[in-house]
Amino acid sequence: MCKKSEAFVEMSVELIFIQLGKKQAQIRYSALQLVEELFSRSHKFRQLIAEEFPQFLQLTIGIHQKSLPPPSNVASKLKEYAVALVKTWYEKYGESYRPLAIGYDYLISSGEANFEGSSLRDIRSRDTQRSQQDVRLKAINERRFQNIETQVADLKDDIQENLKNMESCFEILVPRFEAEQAMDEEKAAAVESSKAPSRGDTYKDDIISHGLGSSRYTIEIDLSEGNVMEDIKESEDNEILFEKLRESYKIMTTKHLTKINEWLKNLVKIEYTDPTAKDDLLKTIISLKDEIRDATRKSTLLGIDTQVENANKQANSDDEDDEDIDALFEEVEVPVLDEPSTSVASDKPSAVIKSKKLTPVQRVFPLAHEPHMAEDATYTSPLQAQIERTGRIRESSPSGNKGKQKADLQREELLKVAPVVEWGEDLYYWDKQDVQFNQSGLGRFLRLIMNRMSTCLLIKICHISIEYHHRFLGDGEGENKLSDETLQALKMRAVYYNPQWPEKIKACRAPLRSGSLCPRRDLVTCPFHGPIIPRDEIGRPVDPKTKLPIVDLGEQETAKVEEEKAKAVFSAVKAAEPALWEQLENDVMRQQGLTPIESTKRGQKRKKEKAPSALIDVKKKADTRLSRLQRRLDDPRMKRIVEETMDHERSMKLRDKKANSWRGI
Amino acid sequence: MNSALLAREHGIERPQSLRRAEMTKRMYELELSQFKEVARGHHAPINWIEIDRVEKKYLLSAGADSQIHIYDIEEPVHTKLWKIPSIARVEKKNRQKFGVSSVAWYPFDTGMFISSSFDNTVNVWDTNTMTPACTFDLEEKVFSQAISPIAHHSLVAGASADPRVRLCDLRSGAFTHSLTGHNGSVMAVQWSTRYEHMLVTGGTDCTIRVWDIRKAAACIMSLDQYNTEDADPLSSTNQAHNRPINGLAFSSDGLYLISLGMDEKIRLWDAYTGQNTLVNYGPHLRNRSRTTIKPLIVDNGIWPPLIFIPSDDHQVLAFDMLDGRLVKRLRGSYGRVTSVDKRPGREELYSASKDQEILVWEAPRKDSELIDRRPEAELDAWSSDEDEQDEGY
Repeated sequence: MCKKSEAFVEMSVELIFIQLGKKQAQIRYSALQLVEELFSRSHKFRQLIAEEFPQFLQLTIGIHQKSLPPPSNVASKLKEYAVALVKTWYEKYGESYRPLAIGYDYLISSGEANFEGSSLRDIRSRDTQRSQQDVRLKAINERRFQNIETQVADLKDDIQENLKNMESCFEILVPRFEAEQAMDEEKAAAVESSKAPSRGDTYKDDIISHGLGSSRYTIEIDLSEGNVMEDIKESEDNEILFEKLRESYKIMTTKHLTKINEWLKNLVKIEYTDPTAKDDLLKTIISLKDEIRDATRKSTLLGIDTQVENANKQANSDDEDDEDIDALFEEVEVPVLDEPSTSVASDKPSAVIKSKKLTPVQRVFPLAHEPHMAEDATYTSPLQAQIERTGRIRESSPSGNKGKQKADLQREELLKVAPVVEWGEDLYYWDKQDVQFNQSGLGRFLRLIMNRMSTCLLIKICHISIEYHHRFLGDGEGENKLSDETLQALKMRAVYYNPQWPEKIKACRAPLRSGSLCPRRDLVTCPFHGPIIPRDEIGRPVDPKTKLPIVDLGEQETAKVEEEKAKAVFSAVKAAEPALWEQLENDVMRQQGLTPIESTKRGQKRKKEKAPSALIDVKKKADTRLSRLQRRLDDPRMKRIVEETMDHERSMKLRDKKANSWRGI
Repeated sequence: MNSALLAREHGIERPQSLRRAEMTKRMYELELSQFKEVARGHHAPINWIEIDRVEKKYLLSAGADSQIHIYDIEEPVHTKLWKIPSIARVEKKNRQKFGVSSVAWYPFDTGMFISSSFDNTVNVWDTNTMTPACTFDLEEKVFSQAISPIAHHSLVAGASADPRVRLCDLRSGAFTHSLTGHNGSVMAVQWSTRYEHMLVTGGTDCTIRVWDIRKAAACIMSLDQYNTEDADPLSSTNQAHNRPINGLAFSSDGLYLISLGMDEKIRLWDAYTGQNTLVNYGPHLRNRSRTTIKPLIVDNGIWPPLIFIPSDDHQVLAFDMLDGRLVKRLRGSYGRVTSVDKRPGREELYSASKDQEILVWEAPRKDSELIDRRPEAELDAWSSDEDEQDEGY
């Protein structure tokens, strides 16, 4: 463009000077780059720049006590660049353009610029080096990523085969009861139905569907792992199987697990251009890991790991490796999501169904024998048991009277229904209508004395005693009964809440800038990363449902997963929808035949969001101590508090003054 | 130019008119000299420069580093870029204690020059030995001095922080006059170029006073910017500027006087009547520093006459003296310009500034030879691929 006419050159110089005048070092830097290009091309441009050379130097190097604009790091870069540029210009064009020479002389004599050490070539090479380094890093990352990808592809089949072997071994070893399995499946179905979104049913329906008419008794099916495992002992028959298991277990723990951990570690570090590919890879690796863990658990139950360890010890192989693996295993614990135990049981024969109860949350009344109720202060079951026992003893000992027996029967029935409460003061007052107090008669005695004596002092004392119904000195007229309110109050029970601290607090695990995960352990909210939510290996928040391992589950399970996936998608869509209150408002407006109100505030906000700029915000004030303090002081809440305190103080002072100025009245 | 030459040849035009036309043209075309530069001699702001009127080739410069340099500005033949060297300077032991505020050649001989310094003295120097020959102690710091270019009396007027203007007689080495009338420091002083007894001073009391040194009541006039009619020429209400005056210059015929005030105004006075000519030079001047500056009127042989005013914004402003039009801005300095001087007989201007540099301005030379050896650096160097692109359009 500039080549066409000198007018364009003039125009460009004008525009460049406008850009150079901006109070932002980055803009000036880019403008300077433009100047450099044009300067080497056009004579006219050189002339014009030379004419304005003092101003040019002032804007780029900062002569005449004019400092360069912020940000400071770019400003220093700009200055260095400009100085180098002036130097090269001087060498090349100094003779034909006098102002350049004069400017150069001035810079040297005034000492405003240091011409040694910085040459244009240096800066250039530095820039190119940096960009090259970036490119190289990117390439390396890509290579590493692909490396891992191929490794995963290679080893995935191995691992899965190994796992399948183990699984088949397990299946042979562990007996499966058809009936039990059937029951399990049925239960699973039941639980699912209760979990299904049709929340219209009451809990009672649920309970009935579970075959539980009442909430007060339960069916316990105890299939503890222990006794299953006790049944299975290593014998000559299944020796081969055990051998095979041990072998594959060893491979799994020593080779595959370390490999997987390594992959995970590297993958988290690598910044890959395509995040979805990375995510996919991560997912497959994590699911593999989960499977391995499952297998490990099973083999632990069968006692294979100890055997392996023993074998290791015998073979003088180092245990540290194993420990290491264990430690690693602990460290990268993927948040285990609580699946309904029954559904797990359906495909895991060794799994245990401890009790077929609804979770505590779903029940209307907590039951006494429930473990967590035992900790509740208002409901102590051991005591109840004790009381029951004593009651029974009492019942059994005087067993002569028939009427009493009848009453006892009635009582027994009532007792069944009655809640059991710990003995306390409130129970003492439970059935009392009116309670007398201070029947000692000391007051009367005092009154007698008062009648006899007539000293002022005593009169005074008696006066007090009569007035205040003193406990020791006597009481006034009237009945010594507790008032109704007091009685009511006494019937109340004081319950002390003793909070239970969870023994193990989960880490926050939000991804930090350093690449690691947030190690903070807070109860509910991490002060830096908000509420603590389940996160995956690399710290991304996960919907607890979707994070289930997807590979090799039964059909039922896959269907479930799919459903959950759909749910996840739906929730994602929902996030984009307006908030609940807006929906409600819209409904109301529609019913009234009015047009729904546009949420303008949100819309405006969205519009105002500018594209992110590469420029550093210069106007942004630095967050200094002073500004923070100022913000705190300007906070309207703080102001109000201060005002209130001042008011209170003033009123207190006024009151004191009034109280002290009694003499004037 | 050729037609003018022909006209002169045939006697249609007077020879002077051609000369004047050429000189005017060249004067209006001043630009930074491609062939001359003055070597950096001072290590402090340069306060004053002056070129002698006798040999027209010696440049005196006075710096705030109390250094005085003499440059020989006569260029040798056939040089490409000539760096004018300093041919003489004051030895350290002879230097004044503070900066030199102004210098002036003795008008009739280059063997002597006069300087004023902030160490309260006016010194007379022997050029050959560069030693002070005579010292006048004015008891206050001296802002400037002036010696009459035409007079026989060889009196040096010293303008100092003292309200009195002292006249130092070079013959006797003593003060002859103390001119009283100002109410503050006197910043600028100039002798008339027409009347040898007429002296003009300007001070911080915003007045310009005209003195006749022969009279006992020496002050004959105080210039009034409003030209009040029937007013007392010595009225105490007369003011030349609204702020202190720090620059004065006479035209070469002594008919006009220009004054610079710190109100950033330039005023042109009729030196004979003392009337303000009311020429409006516009708002271009920047003049806020309380130091004496040296403007210049160039009217010898050019028409319309030009005035060159040093400005605080690193420029020399060239105005048409009579209609106040801004003709040119001479940009190139990196500091406040303090003084300008023209080499007599040549279209060469020298400007001194606070960036320790003396810049040479001259009319561009249009030798055919020069155009031939136009340096390669001045050629355009557009990239070739852009050529193709342009052709594509």
